[in-house]
Order: sequence, then structure tokens, then C-alpha cells
Amino acid sequence: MASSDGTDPVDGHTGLTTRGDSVQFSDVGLRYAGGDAPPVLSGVSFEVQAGELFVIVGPSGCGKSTLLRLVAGFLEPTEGSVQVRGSAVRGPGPDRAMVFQSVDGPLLEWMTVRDNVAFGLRLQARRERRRFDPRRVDYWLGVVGLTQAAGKLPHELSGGMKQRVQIARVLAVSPSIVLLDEPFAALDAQTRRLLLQQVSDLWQSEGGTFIYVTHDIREAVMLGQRIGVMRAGPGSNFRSIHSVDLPYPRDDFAPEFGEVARLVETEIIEEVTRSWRAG
Amino acid sequence: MARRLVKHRMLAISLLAVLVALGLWGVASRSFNPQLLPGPDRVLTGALELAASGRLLDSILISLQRVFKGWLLGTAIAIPLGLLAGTSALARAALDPFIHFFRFVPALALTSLFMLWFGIGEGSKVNLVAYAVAFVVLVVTASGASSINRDKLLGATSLGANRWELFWRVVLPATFPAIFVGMRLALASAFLVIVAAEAIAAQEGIGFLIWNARTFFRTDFMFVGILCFGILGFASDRIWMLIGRTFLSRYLTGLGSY
Repeated sequence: MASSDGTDPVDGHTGLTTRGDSVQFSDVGLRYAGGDAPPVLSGVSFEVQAGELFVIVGPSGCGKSTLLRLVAGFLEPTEGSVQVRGSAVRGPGPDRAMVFQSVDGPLLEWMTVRDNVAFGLRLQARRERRRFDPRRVDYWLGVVGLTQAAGKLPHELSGGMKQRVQIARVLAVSPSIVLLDEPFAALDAQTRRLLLQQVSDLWQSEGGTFIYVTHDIREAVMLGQRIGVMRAGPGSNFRSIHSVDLPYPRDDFAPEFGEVARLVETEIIEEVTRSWRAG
Repeated sequence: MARRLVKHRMLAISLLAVLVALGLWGVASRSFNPQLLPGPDRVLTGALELAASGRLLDSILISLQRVFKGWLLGTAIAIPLGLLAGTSALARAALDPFIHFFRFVPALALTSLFMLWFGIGEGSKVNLVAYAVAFVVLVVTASGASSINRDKLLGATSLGANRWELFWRVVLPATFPAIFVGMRLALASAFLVIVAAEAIAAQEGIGFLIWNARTFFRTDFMFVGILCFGILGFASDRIWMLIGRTFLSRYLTGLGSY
């Protein structure tokens, strides 16, 4: 991989200009407008360390993505606070960029792959009143293996390639926190496996805090330094948070891997059955 | 190569269909009074007569001018309003009652009023076309702007776009397909209304030609006018599609081939 030594040829430091920020949830609750419906989240407290790769799993509809959207600043908590680097999150910003599950939604379909990756960088250059440096785009296109496809439009790409464009455009703006919301859920198994490896490599080589939401237990154990298992909603929060002390790259055929996976799976199944009984 | 062959074959089928229709028209016209249904030959003679006197070309040019001026004026007013209504809840609340009130007031109902307000010159005709065009473009633009994928907008803001940048770099280009389609549909509305605009207080134009033909019971002239509208409309539509494919193709990838 182009970034294996972690060095950005452009200005001589790592691709991400940050080693990551911490995220702190203190007693966070979220209730959608109206107020009569039960809350989506309730009493969520946890901290993601700076530079950590934290994975969130849980039964579908439990509010995993909602947690991520709170960090991104797309939503505001109705109770408690979400803090990044010690100060409350106020709206979205490029320090917390997000890779979305949707393959066709987020990319700008009238822009080439190159321009999509350059999108955030151009805005950044404008804000800082300096000239936009196209070499940074080249660098990130290389990292995700899209140099050949740089001139193509998104509709000419496969799903896996589109998700790589999303990853590149997010990492290009040097976010201190990278949010990934089931980014590979819509892809086939082989592509998912390869891209998962790529995310793991990127996190190790580039650094930064990664928060990864998935419903796939294998993905979770493959990636997470810690795995947070959420309860079934409504009023969801973390049932448990597991540290995974396995070296990267992880071998999903190893017995230790299976142990962790089984543990996490058992908890999720318990949550699902509990919600079925309740519902 | 194969695709090109298919395209040629489709063109041949279209041409054949037109020839068959002309043939049927010719056959049918034999069993009717030519004053009621003139055949293709009589219409052609009528067209040549009008062409020779210069009236045909003059009518075409003046009508086209009115259609396109009105179309552009209506579009120019509708696009900003449509974008506003489609993206801002506040603007939408303020504009919606008027949009959906006037949208159902036919341009035909306003013909006489517009003559009184804007005079019997070009102003009233162009404004009437603009009126009819504006609501089509407005509604389609607003609907397009309001249905932009949420993740596209959130993604751009999370990459650092402020409201201004979001509008110019994401919302506007993402609405191009809707604007393009809206303008295409509005083109038909423009042709529809020009007949009404030229029915009253006009001394030239294809609409006038048709209305005037009534006075002299020249059904062949009426047919010439009708054919003119159809052909001009068809050609304008093809040209608009060609413009889209040539200059806007990267924005229109989501549109079908029709």
C-alpha cells in the first residue's frame, strides 16, 4: 500500500495531520421532536480514546448510527452532552468527517473521482486562503488504489470503488475523528473483506480516532480495539464494552477470534430476543 | 457498432411510422369534404402558398421568438424561486400558497387581462408564455431541490462546506437534472399558450395564422399552422436534449434516455 510507511510525500508527515481526538458521551439521551415517542437513546456514557479504533455493534434499529450522527454534529442530544477534545460538539465539521453506508447518495455524481476526493480539500484551501494542492489528492487516490479511475464519474464505478472514494475524500481533509457508518454493508463479501483490511491498515498507518458502526460481528472483531454492544431500543445505551486484545492483522480463523465473536454474538442475540419478547 | 445499428433501425422505424400515418391521412381525406379534412397534398399546396408570400417564415419566426423569450423569462424567474422553495422551509411556507394557487389558474384565463396590463404588443404575449412556463419549472425545480439525497448534503457539510458553499457546490448542481426536465416540460407549455396569446390582438404568428384561417375557412392553412407547432415543438425538444447531452451530460447521468 502506498501509505505503508505512514509518510505523506507532500509535506513529509503522516497523511492525517492529527493523531486523533477523544470523544466523550456523558449521560446522552436523544428523543426526536414531538417528545411523546420513547427516546432513541438514553443514559449513554462512554469515552473513545484519542487514536482508538472503536466499533459499535447492536441489534438493528438500536441507535448505532444515531450515536455516530451525534458525534458528526448532524444531531444534537436532547439530554447530556457529546464532547470532542473536551468541548461540546457544535454542528458538523471536517474534524469529524463521515463515511456513509449509502453507496450512491453521498458522492457528487457530476464530479470525477478526483474532484470528489478534492472537494473537502478545495474548501479547506479556500478557508485558509491558500492555493489548493492537487498532490494531496493524488496521494489519497493512490492510497485507496483509484489513481487509474481518477477521471471517471461515480456512476462508472463499482460499489466498492465508490466506498473507496468516500474513504479517500474523508481522510483527505485530515479529520481527527473518522466516522464510518456501516460503510460496506451494501457490498459483496469479497469486496467487504478487502476494504475492511484496508480500513484496518489505514487506521494503523495514518492514525486518528476511528469510530466504526456495523451489524456484522466478524467485521467488529476484525477491526475493533474495543467493541461496544448496544442494547435493543428504545432508550438504548451500551450493554457492555469489550476490549479485544488480538494483534493486527487479525485472523478470523484463530480460536481467540472465535471466542470474542461468540461472546459478542451471544450478547446481541440476547438483546434481540429480549426486544422481541418486549415488543 | 451494434448500438449504432440499433439506433439506425429505430430511426428507420420512426420514419416508417410517420410515412404510414401520412398515408392513412391521405386515404382518410379522400372520404371527407376537403374543407373539413384536407389531404396532405392540399396542405402542402397551402404551405407553399404561405411560404411564397413570406407569411409562413414570418409567422414561424415571430412565434418562435415569443415562445423562447417567454420560456427564458419564465425560467429565469422560476429557478431561483424553485430553489428557494425546495431548500428553505421558511421560503416554502411563504411561497407555497401562491405557487399552488396560481399553478391552477390557466394562462388562458389571463389572456385578456394580460392584454390590458401589458398592451397589445409583444409584452403581453411573452409575459403570458412566461407565466405558463414559470410554474412548471418552479414546481419541478423545487421538487428536485428538496429531494437531494440527505447524505449528500450531510457529507458535504461534514467535509467543511458552509451554507453558501453547500448551495453553490452541491444543491444547485444536484438540481440541474430537475431544472433540465422542468424546462423541457415547460417548453411544451410555452407552445400551448402561444396559440392563446396570438388569438387576441395579434397580427402575426402561427397562432394568428390559425385563428385567421378560420375567418376565411382555410382549413389547409389551419393544418399548416398545426403542423408548424408540432414540428417546431419537436425540433425544440430535440435541440434541448442535444444541449443537455452535449453540455450537461455529467449532471444528467441519473436521467433516463427518454
